[in-house]
Amino acid sequence: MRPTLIIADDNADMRNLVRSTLHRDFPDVIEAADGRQLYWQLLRSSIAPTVRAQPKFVVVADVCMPSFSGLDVLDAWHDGSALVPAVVITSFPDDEVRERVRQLGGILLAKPFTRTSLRDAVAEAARRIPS
Amino acid sequence: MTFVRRFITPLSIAATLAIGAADYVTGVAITLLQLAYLAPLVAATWLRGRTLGLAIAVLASACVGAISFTFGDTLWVSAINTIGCAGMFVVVVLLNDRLRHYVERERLQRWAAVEQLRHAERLNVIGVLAAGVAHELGTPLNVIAGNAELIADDASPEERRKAARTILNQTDKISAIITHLLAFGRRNHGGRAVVELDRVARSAAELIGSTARKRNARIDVVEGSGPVRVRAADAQVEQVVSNLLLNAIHSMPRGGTVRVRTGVETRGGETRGGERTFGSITVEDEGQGIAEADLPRIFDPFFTTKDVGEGTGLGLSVSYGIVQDHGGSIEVSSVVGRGSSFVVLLPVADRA
Repeated sequence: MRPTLIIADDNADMRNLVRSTLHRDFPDVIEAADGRQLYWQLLRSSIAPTVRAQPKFVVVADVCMPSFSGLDVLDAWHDGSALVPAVVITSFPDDEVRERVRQLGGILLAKPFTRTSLRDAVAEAARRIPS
Repeated sequence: MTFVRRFITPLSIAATLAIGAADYVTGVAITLLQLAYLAPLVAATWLRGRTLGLAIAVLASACVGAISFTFGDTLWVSAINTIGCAGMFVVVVLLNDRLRHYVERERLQRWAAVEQLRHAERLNVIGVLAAGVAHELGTPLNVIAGNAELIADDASPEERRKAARTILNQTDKISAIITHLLAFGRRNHGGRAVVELDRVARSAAELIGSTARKRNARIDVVEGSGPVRVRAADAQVEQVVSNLLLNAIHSMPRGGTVRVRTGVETRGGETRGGERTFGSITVEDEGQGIAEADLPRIFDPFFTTKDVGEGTGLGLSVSYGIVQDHGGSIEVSSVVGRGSSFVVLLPVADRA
């Protein structure tokens, strides 16, 4: 079964770009326009009956978003459980962000990125889905 | 005061002669009235410098000598009187002149320092904004790159058209951001033009928008009843509003809404000058408010209640300076725990 792709970015064009880039490998997509929506979608995806046994999703999240930053949401989600298969996108890949992404077990992708590097990063993240 | 300043030379000479005449008429001679000569002496030195001071000293000494001689002192005694007084006068003039130079130098240094600080504060605000702007630019650039790749790769004609449209949209966004930055960075002191406050309020809100979002704050620009026009340097007014917005956001650590409103207000109805009409920008937050003890000091340079490294304590004082330069004022009201409201008043542009 293919994992669902959760795209979280406050910029609609950016979400479209990610969606169209990954369309072939991940036809099932959920979008979130801010941190609150991302958290809700994460919650929803993992309590749905089909995925409860095996949460199969990959997250592509921007750091800078309204309400909660992508990192904060993933941090909260990560708490105590297994690694989150996530690609974290940011314009400022400073040491703090790098360290937090590393602790999450996610993959950092600095803006601007190419479509190939996005594809590679998401494929790598998908491989980390616990099975 | 300007009158005294402009006519200090004839005034001090006249005053000296008047004191001499009074001395002669009353016949008090010597003692007390001699001290009265110090008044024109000091005034002349302070306002015009050492040369005039010394001239007045000579004149005053001559008066003293003449009166002393007239009232029956011998030539020798008169001469000694004159020389004694002259010595005192010259010492006073020289000391006064020293003091004058010292004060003048201090004032110049202070002025230079304040100018420098204003510039530094400007750079600091720009630094904060640059971080926000870099983020704002990063996303559209990325979208452009991605869509360009999409066009280059595979893509159907329809997809290509869509990608090209997206790229155009994003370049528009980027140009808008750059226009903002340029307007903000320009050191525009003289160039005043008719400025619409509503537009300035909106563009400042856009500029601070990403900082606000990061701190869970929202900036609401409330539409006024119509455009409010003032004569001002728009980049400077934008800086003032940006400063107020940043302060408002910093005062709400848990987030909240900042309301920006423009309007027209009248002030000064109770004074002789009559009512004056101002364009106003009101920035209202739901933050911590300002303690009553702090209120009188918030416009002082270096006064800050922010954490170390967060504020320089110059934002409001610079804003105050800018608004004063424009012949306006900033009004503050605040309730601790409820929020603060800052009203920037700028004289409305003459109908033209």
